Amino acid sequence: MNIHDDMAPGQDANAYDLRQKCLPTYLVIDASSSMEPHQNTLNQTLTRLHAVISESPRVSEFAHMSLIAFSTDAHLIFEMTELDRVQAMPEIVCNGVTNYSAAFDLVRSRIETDVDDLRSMGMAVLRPVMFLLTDGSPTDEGWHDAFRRLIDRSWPRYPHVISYGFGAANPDVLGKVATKAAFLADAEVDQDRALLQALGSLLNSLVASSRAGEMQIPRSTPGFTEQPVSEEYVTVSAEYMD
Amino acid sequence: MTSGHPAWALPPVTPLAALEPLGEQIATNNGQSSEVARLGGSGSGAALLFKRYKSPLDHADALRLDRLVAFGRSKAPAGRPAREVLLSRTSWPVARVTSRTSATIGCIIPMAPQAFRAPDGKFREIDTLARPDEWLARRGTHLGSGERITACRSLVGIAAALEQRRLVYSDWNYANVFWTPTDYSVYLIDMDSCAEDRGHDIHQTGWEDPLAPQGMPADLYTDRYRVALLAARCLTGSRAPAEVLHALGDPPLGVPRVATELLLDMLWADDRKTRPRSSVLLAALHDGPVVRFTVARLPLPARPAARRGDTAAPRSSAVTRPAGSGRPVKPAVPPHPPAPPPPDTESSAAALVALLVAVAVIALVLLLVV
Repeated sequence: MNIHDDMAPGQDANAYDLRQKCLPTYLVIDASSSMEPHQNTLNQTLTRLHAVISESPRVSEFAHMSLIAFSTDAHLIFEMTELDRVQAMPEIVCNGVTNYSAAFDLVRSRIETDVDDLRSMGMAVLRPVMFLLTDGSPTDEGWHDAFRRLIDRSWPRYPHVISYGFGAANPDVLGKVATKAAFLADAEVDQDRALLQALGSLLNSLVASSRAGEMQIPRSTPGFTEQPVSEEYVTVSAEYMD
Repeated sequence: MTSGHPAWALPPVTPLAALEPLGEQIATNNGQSSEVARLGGSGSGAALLFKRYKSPLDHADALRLDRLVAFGRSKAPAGRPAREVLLSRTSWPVARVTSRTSATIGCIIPMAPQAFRAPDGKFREIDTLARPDEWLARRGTHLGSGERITACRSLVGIAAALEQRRLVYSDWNYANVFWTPTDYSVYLIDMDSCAEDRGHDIHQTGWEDPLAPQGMPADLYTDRYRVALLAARCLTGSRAPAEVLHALGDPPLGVPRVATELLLDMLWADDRKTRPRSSVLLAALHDGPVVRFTVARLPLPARPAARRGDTAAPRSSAVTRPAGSGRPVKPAVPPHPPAPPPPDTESSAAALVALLVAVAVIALVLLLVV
């Protein structure tokens, strides 16, 4: 077993580490009113994502998942769990404005809780990853500061962030709310189809990650163009929490 | 597939040109292979596949593959029981495939039988057996320890056949074993990586031999650990190694105690060379006579904290509604400050009457004054 590379600092390197690797995964979905035309596709795709992961226990046990939807406020739809324990996905109802700050602040507070919980269950917790799906620009003033707080390198549990943009998503903003990769749907691609492809990309990423035992970021997504990620967010290799 | 199958009519070393045109491509870039494609016209019986390696095998590996193919084709009485198990329950290689330059670029293998497919057409990986009974029941599969033991007998039977021939498989993991709810038998794939006594340690996260230094080739003792881990996961429905170890200490009803003790010996011996043989475990799973030697084990790790329940429910929120409900759990608008309470209609009517009376009185007074 990679008995040495999932050691917590200070552990005896000669001891056999039985902890199961776990990637806390946050799926953060823009549920503002501009997403309303895509609401059905969004819900169908989420249901499909749930069905596929539920039938693949080794993906489910590796990529523990939490779903957060945001519009005027951010809402925790389900807590960090193995997705095959969720019996049915709820339907997202799109409404309200696009408050990025509320989403980023909620993710930050959930990471603190979730990493503690996962560690208490005896897991080797990898750096969390957040997948952001958005079709607009933030309507709040403080999103940039909220994102800085979320990915602040002095906070040991900062997540990797991968963003997918649709429709009216602002390419500049998209690159600024990502640390690993940002993908903008090509204008000529039907946006419902783009949404489907984004969640397909996310699924492939989680399947590949579960096989590799570490985060695997997609290099490309069909129907999307990769956006430059702001240079202020330097990428780092995967690490274990605490 | 048996040794009388028409697949064996193919030469043991077959040029790719003799197989073309290939049929449907069913996988790409999977593990050691760059492509897996059906062979056109492989006749009746098990369908045959061409597995193309990511890079050509070197000479020693080509000879190793030839020996595997020759074992499957042998008619020698010695090794017949193991051969029958391996030919019928694994994708044993039928032929080595060469390029125009005689490089070994792949092999021909049988496809797993249809019985191992789920209704969606995908092969039913043993991954889904290594879950609790309740998890399976929610998906329409009802099984208990009897069915789990049957599946483990089938699995360990293959391991025992390999070990009897001193063949190391190494690549034991959830993705390489299929199972069927028809009779709870299993089918093992990727047999062309087998090697005598020791072979390349195919790295799979979560299946590493805890007592083998990194970089050490896989050997028979590695296989004993991995087979035991897979069997124990299927027997207990637990997956995390620490949970598996504790679940074996308190075995499910109907599982022979000697079998769980042997599994603990195979998983947790303090010396990897004292891990019991798969054939001994197989006998225990069959409730047969077993000679079990004392094996010194490492101390068990602490039992992990209990997990939350077996199911998780989404929270209700302002932006969700239960699946299929067609209406929001809460209003689909952002929360607003509390609205004033709705007016009481009776009170309102009384107030209106009072107001009208007051106005009428004032009007009458004014009229009288004027």
